[in-house]
Amino acid sequence: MRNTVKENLNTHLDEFELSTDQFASLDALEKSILSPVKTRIKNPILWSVAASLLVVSLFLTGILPKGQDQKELIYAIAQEVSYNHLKFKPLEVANNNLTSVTGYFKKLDFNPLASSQVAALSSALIGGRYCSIKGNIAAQLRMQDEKGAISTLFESRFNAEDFDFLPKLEEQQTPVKVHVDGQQVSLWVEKGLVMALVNPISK
Amino acid sequence: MKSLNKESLNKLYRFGIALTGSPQDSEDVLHTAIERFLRKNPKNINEKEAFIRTIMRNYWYDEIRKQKNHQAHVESLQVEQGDIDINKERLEDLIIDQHDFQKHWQALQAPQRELLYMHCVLEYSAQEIADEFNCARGTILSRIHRLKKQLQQLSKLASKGALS
Repeated sequence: MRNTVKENLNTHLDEFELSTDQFASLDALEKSILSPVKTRIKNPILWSVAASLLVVSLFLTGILPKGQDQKELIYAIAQEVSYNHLKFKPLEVANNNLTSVTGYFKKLDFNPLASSQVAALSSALIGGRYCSIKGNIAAQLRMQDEKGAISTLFESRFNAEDFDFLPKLEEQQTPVKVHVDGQQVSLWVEKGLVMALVNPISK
Repeated sequence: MKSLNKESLNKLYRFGIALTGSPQDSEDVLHTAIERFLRKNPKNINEKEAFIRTIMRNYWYDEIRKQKNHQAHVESLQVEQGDIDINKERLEDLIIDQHDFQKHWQALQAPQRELLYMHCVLEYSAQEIADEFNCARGTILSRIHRLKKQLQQLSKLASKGALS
């Protein structure tokens, strides 16, 4: 059948229509964008500040239960050490001898020690570097197992103001374990030191 | 949708088909354009459809550019003022077999399909198309002329093929 270009084009395009599903999809899109969330905070930093202010205000008004408060603090430490572990900064001292590695940390106000919790791991020390936990100077001891998996032990001087809620091995308590960033973080107090062990979650 | 009725959405969808050459791409382009339009939430827009068409066009050509196939579009925008002859048969009145037309339609470049849509479906004048494309009227006339010649040639070839 011979027609004008105009007729042909209109006939051809009239065959196409949005389906019910396609209309519904556009409708849902509109609703999601125009939903009345007027106080949307797009900046993640603002979210953090807002969340922190909320936690502080809840704490000051006594609404926040102590257990919840401790949980938050444990996660805050776990996140800090996990971040440092994953950052994988260069070692300041590379040696597989504990005495040689701990001998490097002359600025510390404590002596890094071997931990009973680490002895169970089949990892070997490969080195260390300075870091901090909640603003307290700390040592970071990096270890590697036979399969190449890296674990990091963080040690800092026990400061009751910052770490009193952590379990103490000397009081027959067991390390608290949390999962952060796909890592397992164990926290405890041993021999007057705060210790945090970050290792990959075993499959 | 509150922002646009079904008729407008279908018109934009068909424009998308003219622009991209495929219903799947048209859906994608339309979806993106509607999202951008809603997020921008522009005030005092009298011609929402034209505004969204511009977003669709910009998005599609950005995509083409990304795929490094934009050369065809750039070439098609080259002005050939000397070839302009608007006194003869109009593009939209050119007679062509429906089957042949559908075949040629798919073979046209994106800017050509878009031009044909605006000229034949929206019935925009060369000046109105030029205003929407933000280019000179002469450029549009030139493109219409070349498109007409191309369709005439394709039609002749198809007729010869049918006769032989």
